[in-house]
Order: sequence, then C-alpha cells, then structure tokens
Amino acid sequence: MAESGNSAGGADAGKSATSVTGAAGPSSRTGRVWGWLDGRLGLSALRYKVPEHANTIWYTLGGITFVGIIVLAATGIWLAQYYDPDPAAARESVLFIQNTAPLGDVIRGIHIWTAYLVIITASLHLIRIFVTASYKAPREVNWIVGVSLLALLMFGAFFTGTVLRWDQEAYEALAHNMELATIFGAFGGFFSEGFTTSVSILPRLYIAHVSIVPLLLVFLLIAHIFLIKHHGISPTPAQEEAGEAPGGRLPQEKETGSYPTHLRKMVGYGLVLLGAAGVLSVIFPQPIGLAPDPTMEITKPSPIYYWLYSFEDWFGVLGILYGAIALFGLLAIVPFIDRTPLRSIRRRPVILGFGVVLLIALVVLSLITAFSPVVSHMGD
Amino acid sequence: MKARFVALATLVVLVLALSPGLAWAHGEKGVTVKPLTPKPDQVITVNGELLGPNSEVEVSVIGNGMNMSLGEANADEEGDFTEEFRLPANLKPGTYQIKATGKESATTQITVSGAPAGGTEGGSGAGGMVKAPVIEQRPLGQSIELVALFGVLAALGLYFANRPIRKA
Repeated sequence: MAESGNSAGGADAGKSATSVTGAAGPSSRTGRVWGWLDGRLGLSALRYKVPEHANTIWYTLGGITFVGIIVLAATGIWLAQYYDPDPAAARESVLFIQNTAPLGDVIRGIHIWTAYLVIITASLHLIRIFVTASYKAPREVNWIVGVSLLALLMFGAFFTGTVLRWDQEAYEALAHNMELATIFGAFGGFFSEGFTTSVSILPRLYIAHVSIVPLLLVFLLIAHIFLIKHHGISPTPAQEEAGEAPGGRLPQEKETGSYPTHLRKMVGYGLVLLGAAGVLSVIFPQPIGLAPDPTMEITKPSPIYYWLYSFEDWFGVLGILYGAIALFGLLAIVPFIDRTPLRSIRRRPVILGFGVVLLIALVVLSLITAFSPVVSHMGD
Repeated sequence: MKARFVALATLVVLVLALSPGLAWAHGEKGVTVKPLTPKPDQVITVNGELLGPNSEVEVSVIGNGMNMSLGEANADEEGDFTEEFRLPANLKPGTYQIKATGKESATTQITVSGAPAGGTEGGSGAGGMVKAPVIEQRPLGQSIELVALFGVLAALGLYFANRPIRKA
C-alpha cells in the first residue's frame, strides 16, 4: 500500500481497518478503501483514547442529544419544503403536511417528538454533570455554555417551533411573548409587532426558527465540543478524590477507552432515539388545534413549560421571565456556589439538597399545572 | 488601549443593534393594530403615533382589491391616538394594510382569518360550536408496519451501541 504523508497511513491504516471495520488487513478491499479515506480525511485522528467510563450511557447522553439535534435539522429541512409562514396560510400548510405530504404525519411527528426527547436527554446530561461535579474547575465555562444550550433549545427552538403551527395554542404562546416584549419597551423591539410594518411577526419567527436559532446552536455546540476536547472527559468523582486526576484530567495512561467506541455508542443510542420518536409519531400523532381566536385564552402551554405556568399565576406575565431567569440563573452559578474540592455527591450535601429541591419544585409545579384548569392571564 | 478599543467597539455594536427598537420607541411615526389576526366584523384597536399634532386621522383598510375607510380619529398634541374600529363583515381572509393618514401617514399589516367574529363557527366566546381540524389516520396495517420499522431501527441502534469490540 502506498505510504500516506503521516504516520496514520500505511500499516496503521491496516490496523485501523481491522479494529474498526473488521476487515482482514490492508490488502483487503475494505482496508484499501479505509486507507484511501483516511489519507484524505484524517479519520485516524479520531482514534484517540478516552477514559473507560466515557463509554457508559451516562457519559454518552450529551452525544445522544447531539444526534437528536441532527435529526431535528434533517426533519426540519423536509418540513420547510411544505410550510408556508404567511399567517393566512400557515395552519393550512401544517394540515397539508399532516394529511397530504408524503410521510408528512411521520416526519412531523418525529420532528416534534424528537424535540421533546432532546430536551429530556439534555436535561439528563445536565443532571449527570451536576451529580458527578463535572462542572468544577477547569470546566466552569463549559457548564455555562451547556446551560445556555439548554436555554436556547427550550426558549429559542421549542418556542418558535410551537408558534409556527399557528393554531390557538401557538397564538396564545405568541401573545405571551408579545406581552413580555411590550414590558421590555425598546429592548423588546425585535419581538414586538411594531418592529417593522413590512412583514408580520410569524415570518420573522420562522426565520428565527430555521436560521438564527440553529446558527446560535452551532456556535454554542462548537464551543462546547472544543472545550470538551480541550479539557478531556471529566474523571469520575472516585478518581478525582483518589488524586488520580491532577488538574481535573486523567493522565493518558489511565485513559483505556477509545473514542471510536464512544462515537459508535453515540450513533447507536441516537438511532434508538430516532426509532423511539418514529414509534411515538405513529402511535401518538401530533395534533393541530383550532384556528387562532385572539379573544380567547383556552389552552395550556406545552408540557415542557408547565412549571412556568404557576409563576404566571402568581406574578402575571412577568412571572414567565422571573421563572426562567430564576432557573437558568441558578443553574449558571452552580460552579461558583460549589467551591469545595469534593466530588462525590454524598459528600456535598448542600449542593445535593439544592438540586433535589430544584428538581422537586419543577416536578410539583408541572403537576399542579397539569391538573389545574386553564387560567386566563392575558389582559389582566 | 486595546481593552478600551474593544469596549468602545462593543458599545457601538450594541447601539446599532438596539437602534431599530429604540427608534420606534423614541420618535418615529407608526401605527399598530390589536389583535394581530382579527376576524371580519371584529373590533380592532388602532394606535397611532406622531401623525401630526391635533390632526384628523383617517383609518383605512387596503388590500385584495379593497380600499375602505374604517373611520376617523382625532390625534392629540403629539399626534398620537387610540381608537376602536369595526372591520367590514364581508372582508375576505388574507393580508391587508391598515393605513392611518393625518398630517403624516403610517401603515401596518394585519392578517384577517376565519369566519366573521359574530358567526357561530369559530366565534369568540362561549356558545359557538367549533369544529376541530380533521387529522387523517393511517390505515392500521400501515401503522403497524411503521411501528415495526422504527422498532427494528431502535433495536439495530441498541445492538450497534453495545456490540462487543473486536480486538486487533
């Protein structure tokens, strides 16, 4: 086999072929194809070591979330071929997608169910990092980037996507946003109907959903992944407290897992997420509500926002802002509250208590909303 | 020096980014309408700003081949007004301009949708029976096939994630 320009070619390419593809060696067709691709794409650079625990499902949740975001982008591109952001036609185009477009009900269902599943996997990923204290030095900034990603998914992507349906629930969600924009005055300009008279707000939110939010997601994901690569996968609490990870990183000789295995698990579990979304889309198809009636407030928000509904009951529309800032503000400052060198969750009772109280509060507030009747908040 | 330059540049960028909202909030003529998507025959609230001190402002609805006056309002000393008008009952669904013309004029866009506000279908308030949109269900056989397909996909993913690693 011809030598490539770096040590990843030649005999290493053959070893790569054996360990990744199962091929017999560089003389096999698979080995030759792999060698050609590796020489041009530098794929062997992905064959680096990671801690063994990185290949457990708990440390793969972030990667599963990433695969979910790719599924959202792919299904979103398909949906965009049929969706019309003109308010006079938006809801009809969603009905067309659901009832007429080829596999429209399935693709739309996968898109929406994957959105829910991505919020769940991202939240589980955050909880894992919280429990294993992986937000501690030197990873504080990456924690903030991660919290920002979750906030962008929940309040950027999910919210704008809900409004695009342009049914009663979508309109009420937008009305809440417009009310908040009014409170913000000049700083709410972008979100108010008075921002421009050349186009109504729905097309602008459509552009936010398909361009601005994905672009921001990409920038944050690049930062997030770069920092993970830079700092390495965090050690387990036991390893950290045993002094095996000076500076918050395991030495290379203790990294006995492989990144290709991690990648394989990400893709594999990502396919499980896609399969689950597909099954859910068939068994529980996504509804489309009534045409919007601006004089009525008869719906509750999406379940991921249930916990905010109670804040609105207590403080009015501003309660939405208070609740969101309270949750994500508290999450963002966790690394700066928990300054102990301890990593085991059992040895951090204060932060454990904080996390448990927060989780219980979110669950209880959500259940209260789930079992309460709809309350009219707008125009109070 | 470099830090000051960066701080100044950041301030300039922030001011430019906020200026559209600031401009509207501080000194540009404009008109807004609530609600965003009214129905025919529905009362809308039109709010105008800086359309000429103490001027008589005519409010019109324009679009889809129609140009109809909704009525007039009196602007105050600053050229502002807030007034309610009823949309024509025979207005077809679609996008329209609401134009307010005093000594200055401004327009905004509304989208008229649905049946007239006073009708029984899609009506505002209690009493009217509103039909939910029809979501067509797939035949049971197709649904079972799709569930099986996605189930197999999930199983393959699980196998791929957990298959034993072959040592070199």
